Amino acid sequence: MNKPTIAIIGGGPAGLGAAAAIDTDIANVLLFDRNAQLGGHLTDWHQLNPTFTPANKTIDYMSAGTQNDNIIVFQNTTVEQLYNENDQITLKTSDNNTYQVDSAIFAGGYNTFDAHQKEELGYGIYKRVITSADLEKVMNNAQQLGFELQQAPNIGIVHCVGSRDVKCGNRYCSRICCMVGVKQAIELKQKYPNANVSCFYMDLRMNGRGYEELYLRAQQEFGIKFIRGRVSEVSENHNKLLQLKAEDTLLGRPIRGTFDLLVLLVGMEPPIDNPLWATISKGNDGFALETLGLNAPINNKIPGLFWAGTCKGPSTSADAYRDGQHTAIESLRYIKSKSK
Amino acid sequence: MNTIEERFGFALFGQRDIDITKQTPQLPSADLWQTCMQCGSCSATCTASAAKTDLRKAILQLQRGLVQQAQASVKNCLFCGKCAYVCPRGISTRHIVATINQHIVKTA
Repeated sequence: MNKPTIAIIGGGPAGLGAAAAIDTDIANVLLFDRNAQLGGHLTDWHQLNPTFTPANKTIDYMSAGTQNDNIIVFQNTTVEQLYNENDQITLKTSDNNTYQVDSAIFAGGYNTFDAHQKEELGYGIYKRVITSADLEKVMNNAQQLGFELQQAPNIGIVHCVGSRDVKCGNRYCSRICCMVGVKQAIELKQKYPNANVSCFYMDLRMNGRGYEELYLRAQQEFGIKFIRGRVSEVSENHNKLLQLKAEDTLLGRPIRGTFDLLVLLVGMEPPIDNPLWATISKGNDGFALETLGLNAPINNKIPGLFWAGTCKGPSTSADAYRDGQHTAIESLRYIKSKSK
Repeated sequence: MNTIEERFGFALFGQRDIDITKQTPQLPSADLWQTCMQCGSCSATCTASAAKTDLRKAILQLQRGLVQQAQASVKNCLFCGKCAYVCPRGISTRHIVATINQHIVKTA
């Protein structure tokens, strides 16, 4: 039997995890990434929580497995079509090439929530309202804030923007934003030591190792305020600063304040603009169904196609990487069962 | 027919909202209560809760700079220390009440 080939679609953490897990003595790997640089959303990220590991270090670790003669990486290449014919999966790419493979792993990742949808929070209307993804780029020096912050700026961080919100169709919790918010609050406090940083939350979901400890440090070492209440309204005053309204639900009294910067912690959404998204079986929340059969029934329209990472629901980059590895094993198992 | 409401049929209310970005008078020992996560264990176990003692609320009021209200929330505290026993964040609750009381003495 010829050496089988596995295609991995997406060069983010999940795709890189899948590439790293495939023994290239057993199978060849074709890795397709639509961007010029591997790493997916991590390429825009500054530091990762809760350890403050630089994101580019994490990408280096994750992509180390792709430095292999039996792994061919196609950058700036989008897979536009995928179908199974006579037990062979055919891929058609944006550069009009066709590839025949034995199994494929879709690692299409996620889209960040478009904060323009929450008009009451003023994103895209007031320049001092930015998203958490924007802030990462600012911290990374890839983007400028575009305005000066005063000596002791008031900075607000709004949790659950585009998550746990029926109004924008996203009932689910995006899992990572709480921790990203606490991490960014600390980063802002380190950058502007006189800043007055307040986090507006509904629940704090510190659901990972070291998260709760970092939350305590944020309170203890950095004096970050946590206010339980969702920001309801943002407007601009005559000084071009942000006027904010919220309710302190624990005190039962309204809160207001004048802020220099407001960071919206945007949630994760399924990658609906991906050309292959129609071939993926999806759950009620819009994300792809579990293909490993651990939590949900496998509902795979195309035999030999598996999917991994955040397209199956919000997760951290480390979880996506491990999920990519698990999915690679599942893909190899499929090829083995077919050859018998 | 004494209150404004009784005399005129309506009353004006004071401003209820708190400006958290303004410098408010605060007790100097913020490190005592800033790790509080408002779980409410202290208030639930409080011996003096029938006398409207609410340490959870007092801490929140201190965090928001409402020192006067915080004083009112703990003025009937019995110093039994049950709140310190149950606090998951290990906050020295009696120290907080003592600090508030000291503040009353100083400002009186």
